[in-house]
Amino acid sequence: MKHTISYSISPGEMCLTLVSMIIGVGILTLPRVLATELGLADGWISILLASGIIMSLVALYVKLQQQFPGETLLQYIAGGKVGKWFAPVLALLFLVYFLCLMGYEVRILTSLMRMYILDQTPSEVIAALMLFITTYAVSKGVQGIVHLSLMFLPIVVFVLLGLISFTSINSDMTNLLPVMPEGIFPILLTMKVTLFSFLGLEILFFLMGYMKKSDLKVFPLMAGIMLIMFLYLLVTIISYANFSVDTTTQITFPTVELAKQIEIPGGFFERLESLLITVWIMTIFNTISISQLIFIQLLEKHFVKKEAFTTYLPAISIFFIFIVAFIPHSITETFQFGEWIGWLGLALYLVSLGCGYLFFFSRRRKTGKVGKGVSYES
Amino acid sequence: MRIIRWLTCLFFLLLSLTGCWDRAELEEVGFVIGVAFDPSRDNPKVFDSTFHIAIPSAFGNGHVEGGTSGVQPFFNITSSGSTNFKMIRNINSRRSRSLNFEHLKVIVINEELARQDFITGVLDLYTRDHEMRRKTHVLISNGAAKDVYIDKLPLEDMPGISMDMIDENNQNVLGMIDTREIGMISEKVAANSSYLIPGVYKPQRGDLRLSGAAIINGSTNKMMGWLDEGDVRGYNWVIGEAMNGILEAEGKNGDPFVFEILSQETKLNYKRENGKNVFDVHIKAEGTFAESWMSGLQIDDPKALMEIENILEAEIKKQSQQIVTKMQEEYYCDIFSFQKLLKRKNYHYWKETKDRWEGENGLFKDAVITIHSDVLISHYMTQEKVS
Repeated sequence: MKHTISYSISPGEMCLTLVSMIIGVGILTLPRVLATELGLADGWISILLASGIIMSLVALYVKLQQQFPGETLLQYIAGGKVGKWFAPVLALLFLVYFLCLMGYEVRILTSLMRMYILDQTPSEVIAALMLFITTYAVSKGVQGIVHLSLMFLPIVVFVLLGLISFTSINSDMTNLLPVMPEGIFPILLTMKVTLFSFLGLEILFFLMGYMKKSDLKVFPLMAGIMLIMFLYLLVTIISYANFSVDTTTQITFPTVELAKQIEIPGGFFERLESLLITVWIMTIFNTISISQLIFIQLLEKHFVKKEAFTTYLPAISIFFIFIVAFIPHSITETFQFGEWIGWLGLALYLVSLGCGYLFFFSRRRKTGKVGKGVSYES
Repeated sequence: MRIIRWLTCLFFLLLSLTGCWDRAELEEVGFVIGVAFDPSRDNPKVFDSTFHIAIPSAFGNGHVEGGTSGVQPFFNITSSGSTNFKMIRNINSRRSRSLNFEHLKVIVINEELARQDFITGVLDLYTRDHEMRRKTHVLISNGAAKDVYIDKLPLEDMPGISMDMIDENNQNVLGMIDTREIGMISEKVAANSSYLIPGVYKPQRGDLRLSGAAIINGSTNKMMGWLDEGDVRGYNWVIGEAMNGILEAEGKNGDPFVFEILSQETKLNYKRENGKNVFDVHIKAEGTFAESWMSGLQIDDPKALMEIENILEAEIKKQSQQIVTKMQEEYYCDIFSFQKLLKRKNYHYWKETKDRWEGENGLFKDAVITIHSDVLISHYMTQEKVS
């Protein structure tokens, strides 16, 4: 039992990192996806319900994590007899998941850049540059990534709120009525979309191992989920109020279109969507770099144990992400791909959580033995 | 080994130094301020687009009438074709600068085109392309659309900019409807509801003028007819957008007086009674007694004030009733978006009737619309008698 943790994540940092991870493509597309799925203006109810579910899932995991402070979930599972075989399988699935997620985010990023800002620059170049930068961030380890999230998130939230407050001038709130004319059932059907937009929770399994036992609290993470919920609600409601639900279904990136609506008197500042996209790239950067860090750590812990090979992992990861990013042929296919990733992520979260609890109960019944701590450096 | 690794890194970094692919010099871009669409003479499938392009270097000449160099700060160029984008690119083969639509302010559509299935087609490019803003104003012209861009008006550098600003003045004029932006129109198209688009008229000699409005049918998106200023006044009362206009009315002996609106709101109520759709329109207006040609008026007498208020209420009611009747009996179009209220108040009924609302046998035609008006004169400035 040797713990050589030089850096531990504080609860507040964990919360903001989680927020940085979760805010991604969803914040730009959620209003459209909800409007398309539902056809009514009740998307906001769906967001409220989904965030409730997500909060309970997070709370469940934090309770579990308190049983094995200083370890990741997979290490804990690997400590058992059956788990020894099961953990690598989970790890492999997580590798696939994070790989696809990064590919998807990079792809949407390049599409957006080509649509709105740089229509001559080759997509491959944008994607490659983005991945080079995230890889450099990953080379600084957990501490670097967490602090980058802390640095970018306030800017992102501030700019988003600023832009939305500018657009609220010409909004017609009656577009949000009637409330629940079809009852609650159709809203429940759209839950999958809203749950997907909260994905990124899986990072808790891997990053909460870096927290002290006394720091494993539920509340800060709840606050983070609340912040995301608030942003999602705001973006969705303002989109509907600005464009009406019917029109929102036709706009690929409603949030960007909202920023385009802004007209600051004087006519000098007229391209605020570029500001929004720039800021959004920051959060995508965070999402990709956190995912990449966990991707590489998973490889190191479960598959590539040799020191000689680990140096090449970042380069290899870039190569694969790049390949995955350009698998879908069109933006429609990309969104389809995103939905599959959503299903995979949700399933993985639930399965891992279930496994964790199963091991916990079975172990407690047998001996109350604690899992073998695997020492690791950050 | 280490050196090889470094060199590989450097080589990849070189790739990012190929320069900026998307550089566009400001001096090499032609900013389009307005677009006009006219029918082409020979072929119904083809139409003309006129682009109204700014010459920034010549801006400011116009501020001195009979200016210094006399160079107009804009030029117009017309191209014909059957799709918008092709025409935009056609201009590239005839003028040195490529067109940029970041600052597009006005789109003017010829009435003849608006009466065909044209509006949705134009909307498509102008809402789809990333350069276009959803805040661009749309107007329907009575006569050739390209003519509105010919004559420069005083004060502004370009007629397109003038028109955009005149359109913004609608709140002071009761006979003008609120600006119609392209984003708003696409909302109406998506919801299949009827709407109005402001009209613009350019006589052969004289200045352009924004007045009246074109009625666009929600289900076909074709123009059905014109509303004159009187109709538009009524429309503004019914939907509560009279804002800051003025109302002329006649007193006892036919002497005119003017009521200036300071604030106005309309409350709509909907009930379904005995198988009928009943709409209550409550028009409330507050304002000042601004100008009077009446002789022997004791304005400080509460009775006289009441009388004037009653005259105004009757006038508002008359104007509103006129347009409502016209819509119900002549065009069968719900331009007031009563249907939206229906959706809010009685969703299931709306869902089952949404396709039967407008049209000759529609439900809107038989809806019972009652109008109540309430005017409050909050002050009357002076108490002098003009006599």
